[in-house]
Amino acid sequence: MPEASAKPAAVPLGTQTTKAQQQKGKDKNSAGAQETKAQRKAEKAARRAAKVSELGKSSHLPQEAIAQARAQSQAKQSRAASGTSNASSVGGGSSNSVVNATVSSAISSLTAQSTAIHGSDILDKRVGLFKHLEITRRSGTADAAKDIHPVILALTLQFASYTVIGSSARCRATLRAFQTVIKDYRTPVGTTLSRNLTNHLSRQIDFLITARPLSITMGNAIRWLKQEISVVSIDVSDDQARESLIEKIETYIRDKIEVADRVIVQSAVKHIGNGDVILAFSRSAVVEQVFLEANLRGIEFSVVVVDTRPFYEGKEMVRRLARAGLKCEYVLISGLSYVLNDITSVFLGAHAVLSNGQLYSRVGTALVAMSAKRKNIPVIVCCESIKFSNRVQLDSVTFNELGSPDELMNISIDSTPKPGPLKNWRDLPNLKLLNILYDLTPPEYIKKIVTEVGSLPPSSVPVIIREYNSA
Amino acid sequence: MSTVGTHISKEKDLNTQIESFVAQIKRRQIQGSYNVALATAQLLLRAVSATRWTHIDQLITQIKVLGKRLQSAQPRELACGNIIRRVLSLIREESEDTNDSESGDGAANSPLITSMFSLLSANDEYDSTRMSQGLGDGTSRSVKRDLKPYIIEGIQELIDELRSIDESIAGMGVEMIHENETILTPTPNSRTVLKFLLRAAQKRKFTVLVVEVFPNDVEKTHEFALKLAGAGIETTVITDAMVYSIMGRVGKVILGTNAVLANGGLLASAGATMICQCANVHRTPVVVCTGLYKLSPMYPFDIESLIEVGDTGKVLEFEDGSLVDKVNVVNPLYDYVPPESVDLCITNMGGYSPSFMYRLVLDHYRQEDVTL
Repeated sequence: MPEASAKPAAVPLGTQTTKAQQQKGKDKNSAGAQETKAQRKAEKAARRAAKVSELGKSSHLPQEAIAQARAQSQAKQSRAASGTSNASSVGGGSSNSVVNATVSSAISSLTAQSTAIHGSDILDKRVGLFKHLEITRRSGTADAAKDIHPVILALTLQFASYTVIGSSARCRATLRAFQTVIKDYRTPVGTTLSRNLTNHLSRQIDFLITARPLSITMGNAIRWLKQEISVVSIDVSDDQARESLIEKIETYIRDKIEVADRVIVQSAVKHIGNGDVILAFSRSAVVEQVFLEANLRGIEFSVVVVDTRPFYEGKEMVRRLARAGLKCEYVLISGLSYVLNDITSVFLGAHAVLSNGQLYSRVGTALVAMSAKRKNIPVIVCCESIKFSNRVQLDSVTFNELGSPDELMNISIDSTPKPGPLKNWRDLPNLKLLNILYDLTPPEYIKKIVTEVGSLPPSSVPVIIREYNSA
Repeated sequence: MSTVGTHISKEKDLNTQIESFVAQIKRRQIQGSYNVALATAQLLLRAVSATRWTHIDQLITQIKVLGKRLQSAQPRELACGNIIRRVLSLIREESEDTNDSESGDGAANSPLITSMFSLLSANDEYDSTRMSQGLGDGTSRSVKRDLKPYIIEGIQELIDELRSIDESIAGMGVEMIHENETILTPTPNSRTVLKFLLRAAQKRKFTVLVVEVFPNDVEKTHEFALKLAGAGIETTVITDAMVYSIMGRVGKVILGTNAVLANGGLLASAGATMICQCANVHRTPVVVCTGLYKLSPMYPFDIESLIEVGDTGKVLEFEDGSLVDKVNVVNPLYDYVPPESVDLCITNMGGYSPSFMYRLVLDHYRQEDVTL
């Protein structure tokens, strides 16, 4: 580990021996000793950072570690000013983050675009509340290991650039990519398919995660796939096993996504009547299908699409609906209260529905649901059962996904970027931009969740998970 | 004769000034409630000094006519009408004061009954009938010209008050904000809120979450964020959609507004309603910083007529051919915030709860002037 080699070089001998003693665990675990060890660690980090900044950027330490060290030295200074009660937690946290820094530096390229933590400045651009969610993102695939399949490389780039976006779409794309990976897979000598294929796929998945964290649907699908692989009998030949796996994946996609969508549409269309004005938020593939089906059946209704930046997914939805001849209205979320007066019902999509009934969906969904509930407008969520998760969560801060903050700096409304007054925000101290992708809607704002196994209130989600074992 | 001649030319000057002012307002060259209010007050100052009148009623009628014209130039800019009504109420007050001293009547002539004694005294009915007579009857007022300097002084005081509003509101900032607080501001286009926060930052260390008001004020928002960051306040810019997710971590919501209506409701920039409701749900206090000139005697009977709609090209670009004809795009500029969503209104005269705003309306405006 480059960290370990750097430490002794930067630190005078006297402190080094005491540190070695501590690392061997000879010290007693008293609170006082912990505190002084943490303080010493932080001081060492500060000295290291100072030395590194003297040497300039041509240090062998990864840039993330520099930022971490600087953050620690800042933390140390603020601690000195305010008291030492947090000393042990800072010390503990620093060792974890140092380990993380080396792991992430091993798998991601250090292009300036890809780091969410900007290594070159003293200013910490991470928003305090969301520091635990920061990851380094990739923008190129040049550093991929040799065993990553090209279709996975392509998919990673599609995820990273938000070309393939949306919970079901990503799941479907991932499974199709895995079909290709399985087709091209050949078991190495000395191991069996049922044991080795899982590892092979895991490596592909680890690479995919560097673009964006896995969606709940992808997680559920991968868990199912690994289960299927593990039960492949050793009597069956590799060719047969591969074929059967590919077919099983095809069936899964068909059943869990395509047929599920059709069942949901049949069910949800009953909630649309003549003269309805329905509000849709951002873009959900299922909700779009519901509207198109209702239109085909000749129901006279109109749709108001509420959109947000920076993704403008709603524009794509409104384009498809308008093409089908539906009467549409388009507004950005700041105009929500203005249009809400005429709305009869709200249809929302989901990224996931959690076990405590909370809806985890595109950021802004909670605002729409809350405003609708205040006016007693029913909120209907359309979601396939693969989106159900065993996780529980209480607020949008403990778990979320961070997007690139530079998207906020750009103030255009179309695909050509137009930097606004904040184009130099990284150079300014005290200024941060926050871009989170999801939020959590409490179950009391939702009237009904329509799934392919039936319509249910949000509180019944754990029942479905248990009964149908879909998570 | 020469005085008449100079006076006619003064009136011509005044007319040209009025014309140019109305044109500027129509063309939005003067924009924003503060600028409109200040310009209206200055114009009225000139109008009052240039006009001749024999009865005070004539002045009142002339100002009313002028006011109606100015108000209709930008009908949704309520600040213009507010200033006109303030000046009218000023004029009426001055004339009633002099009437009192003339007839030697010591009893309070204000519409509000201020002492219990006057309720019990026998003169009560006589006062109210005299009041209703006095306004219509011009012949008892022999003091005409003598009022002019007082009225002009009053308008000048009003202008000074307008100029010092941000100062007085900012002075209350330190009492509202504690150390290490997180503040959310949904209307970063407000100069009042900016000064409020900057002044508080001199004594307190806090964090501000700035909501971009996309698309109409996003550039002003970003500049607001730059100014706050430059003053050493830790600033984070977020989009409108993210408000619900972080509201649980916010200590206060501080906003500015375009107008305050008589029921205590606000006409603030787009998105303010949903953000204030979000704050209500999380039991986060909502504080409005506004000058009294924004207080309007109108009630929001028809909210849609109060909300102005802006350029749809900012929401959906016109180059998007597949959508232009088929989709109805809306870009509301304002939002009506109901009074129950607001916890406190901080004005240059102090802090009030929204349910008290109607009293301030009664203090500053006269019933007769509500319809210009």
